[in-house]
Amino acid sequence: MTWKETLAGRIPADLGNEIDTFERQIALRRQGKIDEKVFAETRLRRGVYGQRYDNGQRNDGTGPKALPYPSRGLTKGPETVWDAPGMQRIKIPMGRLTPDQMDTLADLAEEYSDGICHVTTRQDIQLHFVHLDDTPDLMRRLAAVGITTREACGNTVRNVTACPLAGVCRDETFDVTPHAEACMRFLLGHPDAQDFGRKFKVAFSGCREHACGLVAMHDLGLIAVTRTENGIERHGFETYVGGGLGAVPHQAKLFDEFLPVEEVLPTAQAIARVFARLGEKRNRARARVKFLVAHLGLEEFKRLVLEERAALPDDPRWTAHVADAGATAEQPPKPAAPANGGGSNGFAGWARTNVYRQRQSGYATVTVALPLGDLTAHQMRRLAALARQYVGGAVRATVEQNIVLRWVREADLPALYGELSAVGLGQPGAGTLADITACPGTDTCKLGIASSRGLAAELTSRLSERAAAGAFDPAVEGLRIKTSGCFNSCGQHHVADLGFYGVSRNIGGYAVPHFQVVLGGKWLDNGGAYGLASGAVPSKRIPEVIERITGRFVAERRENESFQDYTRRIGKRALREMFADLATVPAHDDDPSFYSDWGDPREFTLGDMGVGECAGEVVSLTEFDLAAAEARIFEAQSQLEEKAFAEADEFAYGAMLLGARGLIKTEFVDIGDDPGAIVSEFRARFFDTQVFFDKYAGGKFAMYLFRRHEEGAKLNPDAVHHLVEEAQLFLEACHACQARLAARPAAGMPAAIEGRAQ
Amino acid sequence: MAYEAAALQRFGLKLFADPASAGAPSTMIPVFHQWIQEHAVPGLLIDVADYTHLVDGPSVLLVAHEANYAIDETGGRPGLSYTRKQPLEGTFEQRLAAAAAALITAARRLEQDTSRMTGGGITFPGNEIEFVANDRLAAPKNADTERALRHELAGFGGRLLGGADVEVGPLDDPSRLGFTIKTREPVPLETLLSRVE
Ligand code: HEM
Ligand code: SF4
Repeated sequence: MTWKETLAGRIPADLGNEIDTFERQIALRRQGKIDEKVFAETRLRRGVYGQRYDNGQRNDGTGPKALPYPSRGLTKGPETVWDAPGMQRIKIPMGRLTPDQMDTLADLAEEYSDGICHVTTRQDIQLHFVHLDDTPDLMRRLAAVGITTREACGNTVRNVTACPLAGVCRDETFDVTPHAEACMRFLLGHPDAQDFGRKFKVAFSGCREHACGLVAMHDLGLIAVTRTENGIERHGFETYVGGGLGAVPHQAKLFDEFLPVEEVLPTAQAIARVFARLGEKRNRARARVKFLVAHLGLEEFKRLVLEERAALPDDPRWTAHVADAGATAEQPPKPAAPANGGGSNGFAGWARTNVYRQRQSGYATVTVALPLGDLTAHQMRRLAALARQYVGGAVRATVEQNIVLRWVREADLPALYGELSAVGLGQPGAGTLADITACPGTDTCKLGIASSRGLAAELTSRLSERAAAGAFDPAVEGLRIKTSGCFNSCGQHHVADLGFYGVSRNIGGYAVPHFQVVLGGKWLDNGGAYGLASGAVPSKRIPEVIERITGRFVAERRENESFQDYTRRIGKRALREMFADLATVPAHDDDPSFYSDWGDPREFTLGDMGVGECAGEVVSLTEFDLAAAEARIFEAQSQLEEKAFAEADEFAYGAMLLGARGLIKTEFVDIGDDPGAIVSEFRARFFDTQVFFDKYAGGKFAMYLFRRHEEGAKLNPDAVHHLVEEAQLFLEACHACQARLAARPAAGMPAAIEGRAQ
Repeated sequence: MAYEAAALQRFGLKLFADPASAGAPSTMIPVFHQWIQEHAVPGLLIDVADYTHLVDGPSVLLVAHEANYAIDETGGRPGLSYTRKQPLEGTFEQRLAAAAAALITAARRLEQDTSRMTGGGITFPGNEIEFVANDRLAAPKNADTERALRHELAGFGGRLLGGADVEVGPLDDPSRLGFTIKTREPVPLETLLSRVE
């Protein structure tokens, strides 16, 4: 008996066929009949991701060591060993889960993974350490409970997210759930949404003011609004395009003040078509919608979309959901019952932070706060049982990596709290400083630089006692901490009040894990503003950063001043000064603890980073350095705005060095971070050979790097201004050079020879 | 149709620790890292996963290609677990013995490794082992499977723990298929190991 046979009849035919096809592709790849890159794209589109160390190598603390997997010769992507464990992302539209689905997730975590379910920052569930050969059955078992992993990853429309309170929120304009659901169904597998250069993310929000939907950081973001026309109230969406996080974050731009609900799907389709047609395909660093909007200008982008929209043939699916939009709303499972006292120790504190009074009187939504977004399979199963018992199944995962139970009768809250606590799920402090978001980071991500989860775990353990005691100052209690393992911002650090992303600094010949401190991002207003990079601090001192900045804020705050306003008022320079003493690192022999990361006793190294799988494509070390350089340029620009000239100069110079280093890595040379070595290798390999030369500008852009390197910093405002612009141009030239190299006809030919021949 | 355990490859075994000796699971993180360096226990050892922020499940995992070793706190009872992921050769009884040998080897190693652990180190009384079937296709939770597996486990448990008073009881968690197998008197790990090697 197989799962395929056992579940026959319970899997929708189209899903079943897709999974069978995937299984055949696995078999073909095993026989060497599919190219590894093509296969990588195939599996990524189904959420089957690589994981750290799957290149068959790991530094065990004494040096890099081979991991001799049995099928060493067989790969599932470039430098990705077949039977190395990987990650499975499971797409959960709007985070909506049923108890049966939760039971299945628990089973799968136990049988194929490490017994843990992880909630992601986009309302998905992930399992880690999954074997590729198990994925078809894993997918079948999901399909049997109505879940597909299709387009969970890759250059596709990713999970459609929405407020977890949609339908029960006191402030929403209307319930966005049916619209988000229809949008998800419509775009899933849609032929117009298959040929993107990069991922495409959609989010729905019920209001402008709160954060839940995070519309401002999405490729397509929709906020529910109403308009009265001829005395009739109509539903529609304030629609935004071109937002996105990543190394260079963009705030989405207003596309339409009022897009009627009937127009949402055709407009999304038209945007997809324009993006597929005109979006960048070759250079992934420029491929998100945000770059297309910036490149064309919003007006032109809009014109093209409207033109496309006008030409689309009618599709009944566009509006099928609109008529019964209200009817699909969840029904309360039991008659309402108001609170009537009771509750064990700890109940009141938990209720204060984890219980939300719903719009429907007598009902509440309970947040189950999950540390680092994790819960054990056993907890997941218990939670499913509690969901059945108390709320009839209305469960959603949140972008803050928690799970909410909706429609809890107020009278049931004390009992529910007791039952949650009994399985370790009764932590208070949801939505407070102690409720920390973290990307996978160095635990499992191949691109991770520093341990975002290790840091988050440390901070959680330090802050949760205070959260439980309700001991935070009210001014800081609701602030958010978010950590990412690198600048890619999967942990959404840009929209945190206190955001951190992993970087490495070289101290006395050792790599030291650091986090860049990003302050004053705005969680409210749908992720309404991004934070200020305020200097890198060693990982081990981040807890002190938090103590200090929150302490200073409480002490120095003006009446009703928000944290964002405070950080902007005192300015970057003061923020940098606040942390200047924390930025120092003791010598290795004096305190080796600084030289390893949180939760990991091995000496810190960047040697474990692998070619990452960002989306559909494999990210080379070159691309990684170029993206890191982008992040530095971004920081240089914001330093410039703050008139922090020395810092801006340093970032701009650092960006150029990273760009040059990235190119050097195309020749498989691992060069380290010594500026002298980078510049001289770059000169020998790319300048003297003219490989770097641009058709029109020749070697001009390289001169910017050489000049800054040889002449040192000039700190007058004009000079720094110029340098930042030059760094930008240099980086553009690096991207162009890399694209030329990638398009070389004869793979494997040394770049230098190729270059000369041009 | 009577259930055949022949197809069951995914299963877990857990050896319970003396709760007073167990200490904080986080103390095991450096120990497991060292095991990877030293290839201290059977299997292709890959990485350490830290879930010490959770209760009621695996807390610190040593992930191997063939199986996961874990400091396991399921049901609030600390212990060391060994969960197979890759198939083993031989009959079910032989596979159980091979898994038990890996588990007991690791447990012994932990008992001996007192250097990094606070409070003198962890000990395993050796008189109780848990078996969990971890494949809902090969071993669905129903009366047939339960009866057949109980029979197999009673035989295996009797030989492992030695003695007439071996009891096979249900798991605390009714959602899973498995048994606890125990005897009254503690058994040294060396003795257990000699019976499965
Ligand atoms: C260059 C490559 C990558 C870029 C630019 C990137 C960027 C991002 C961004 C901006 C988000 C999230 C925010 C949002 O829109 O809500 C995100 C989500 C996420 N990323 Fe990445 N990422 C990359 C590679 C990776 C890798 C290699 C991993 C680890 C395996 C990873 C794990 C995640 C996770 C777990 C999420 C939340 C997931 C979800 O969609 O459910 N990312 N990524
Ligand atoms: S932010 Fe970086 S470390 Fe974290 S998951 Fe994304 S790519 Fe990996």
